[in-house]
Amino acid sequence: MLEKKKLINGNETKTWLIAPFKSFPPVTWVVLAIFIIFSVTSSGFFTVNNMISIVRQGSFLWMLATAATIVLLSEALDLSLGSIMTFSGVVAALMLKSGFSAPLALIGGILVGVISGTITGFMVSKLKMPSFIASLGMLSVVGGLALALAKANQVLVTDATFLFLGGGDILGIPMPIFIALAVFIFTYFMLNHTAFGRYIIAIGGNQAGARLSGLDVEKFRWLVFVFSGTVAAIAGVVLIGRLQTADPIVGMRWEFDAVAASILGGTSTKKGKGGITGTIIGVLLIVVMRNGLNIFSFPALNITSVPAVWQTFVVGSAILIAIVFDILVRNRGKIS
Amino acid sequence: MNVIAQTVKKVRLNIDIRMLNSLSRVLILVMLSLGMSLLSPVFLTSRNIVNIITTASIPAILAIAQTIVILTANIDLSIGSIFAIAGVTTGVLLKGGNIPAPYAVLAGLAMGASLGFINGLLVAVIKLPPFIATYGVSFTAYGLASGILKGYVIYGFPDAFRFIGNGKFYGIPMAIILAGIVIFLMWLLLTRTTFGRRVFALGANAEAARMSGIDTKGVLILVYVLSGFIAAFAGVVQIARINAADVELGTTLLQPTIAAVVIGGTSMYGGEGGVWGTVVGALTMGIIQNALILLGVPTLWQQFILGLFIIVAVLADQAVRRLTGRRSN
Repeated sequence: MLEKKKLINGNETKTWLIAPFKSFPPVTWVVLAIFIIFSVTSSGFFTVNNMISIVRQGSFLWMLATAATIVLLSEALDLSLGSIMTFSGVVAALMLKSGFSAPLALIGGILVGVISGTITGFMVSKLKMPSFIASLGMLSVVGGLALALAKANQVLVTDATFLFLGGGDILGIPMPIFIALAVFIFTYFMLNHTAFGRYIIAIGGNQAGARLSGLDVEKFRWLVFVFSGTVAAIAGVVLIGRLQTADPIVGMRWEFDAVAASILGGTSTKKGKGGITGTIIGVLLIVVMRNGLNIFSFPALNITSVPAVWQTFVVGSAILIAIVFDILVRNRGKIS
Repeated sequence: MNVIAQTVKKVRLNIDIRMLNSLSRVLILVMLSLGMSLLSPVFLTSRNIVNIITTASIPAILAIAQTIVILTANIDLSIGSIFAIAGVTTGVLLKGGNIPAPYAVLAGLAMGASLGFINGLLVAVIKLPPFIATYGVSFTAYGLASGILKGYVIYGFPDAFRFIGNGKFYGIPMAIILAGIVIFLMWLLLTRTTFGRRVFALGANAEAARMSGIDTKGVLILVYVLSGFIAAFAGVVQIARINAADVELGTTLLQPTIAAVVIGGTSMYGGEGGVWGTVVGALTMGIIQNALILLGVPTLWQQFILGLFIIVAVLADQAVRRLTGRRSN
């Protein structure tokens, strides 16, 4: 074992020092740095209330990013996550509005997500479409359906169950956090302790090899999309309770944040490397950045806040820079 | 003798299959037109036809930008946003300062080319997956446009500038002429130059291209710069045509361009296809959008239908490839 470590690192003494940090993706340091900067510059940042608010905002992205990671692990890409989230929310809200009970609306909302995921998965696995094209098509189909069903208007949500799921709390901790945590634990268990999880990683690592060893690769590639559609739908029905309205364009650009969070968290688009634990760091980076920009102030430079119109630009370029930084750090040893 | 005969036969069969593949794309266009002329009496009027071609010409320019990227087996998801930021840049300079129109146009084009350059760097040098890199650049460009405009729409440009989008030259709308020029130049570039052959080589087999001494990184960066430049050109013509620039200028344009490229027979796996196919694809998309309006489909449903159409187009393309025995995976 020691011999092996020596071979890999070429430096034995440092190994034990770095080892505990090896499992963190490089951007962990970026997250810490941003955290400290915001804490220093903005008095409203490092407060209990704001921390809870960050985690609450983050829990939706966390769910989507967990789904995106599973898809990436199987060496595919799901760009329809944000649209499925929107669509499920709109369907649930419309069902509530037309008199269905809360449990039925919940089931209905989640079911359309399952169906959307099933369709994407079918196109990718059985019809052999490249996954980003299939899911890009579904992004329009599902997003367009949400827009058309809601007639481009917001649908108010007043049902108590939904409002509790999205906006309520237990012991001061907001409900979305519990739901996201449940999704995370379930996915973690599925990925690490079931045959399905191992198959996903096997397919992502070496699809041809998995096929040759007798695995029904197409079935599992299909199931991955059913899973991601389901998770996006759960996020969708919780989100409408939090916002107290179903907005037919609320999920725009979320698919990018979700995939970016997975990549920042160390999941590679090739070879089934990575995992959903690292994704948490990626989610934190994006959410802390968005939250911090809202209350960012820097009196010395006469900056009191970052205008909303500039936030897309700042966050977009920051994510790109972080991804580049991440890749450069990871490849440092390999290029030379 | 026998061997030669067999080879000749093989070559001829190959040509036939290639012809069949191309013909099937044109056939779809013809059948769509026939179907529409039965459904709507307005469709086959010369006014409507000119309208379709004029409306399709700017998306066609964008689709050409997408074609060169897809030929290298990559993708550019940022062309919609580059289209918008170029329009916004030119628009703001035209309205805001005393900057002559040609310089404002150049600034818009430069903006597009530099964003394309960033795309190229991220994909070719940093080796990010193309959809991640270009999606990221897309949001950054969109954010830049919304930061510059601060939520406003700018409108009312000088007439001399508006001519490039709105004017007519010997009775032909300028948009069609400009699209024709872009198409012709790109066709020349792709089929008559070394660079064009390298683009195809890179798309067919990147590793082989690299091994045979092609500077694949350089070619790929140049391809993205070109794509950004052409998309920016389309954006500048668009604001001249509609006499306004806003952030959402390119929001709905990305997916139709991918559909146009696929319908036109350029393979998503690279190295196969070309400019003329994309022209057929862009016209097909133009007819479909025209049909949606003529048949009175509510605007609300159009995004849904376009999405369905992308999926159907890719599926049909794969079916055609399978039938004509060309590689699909």
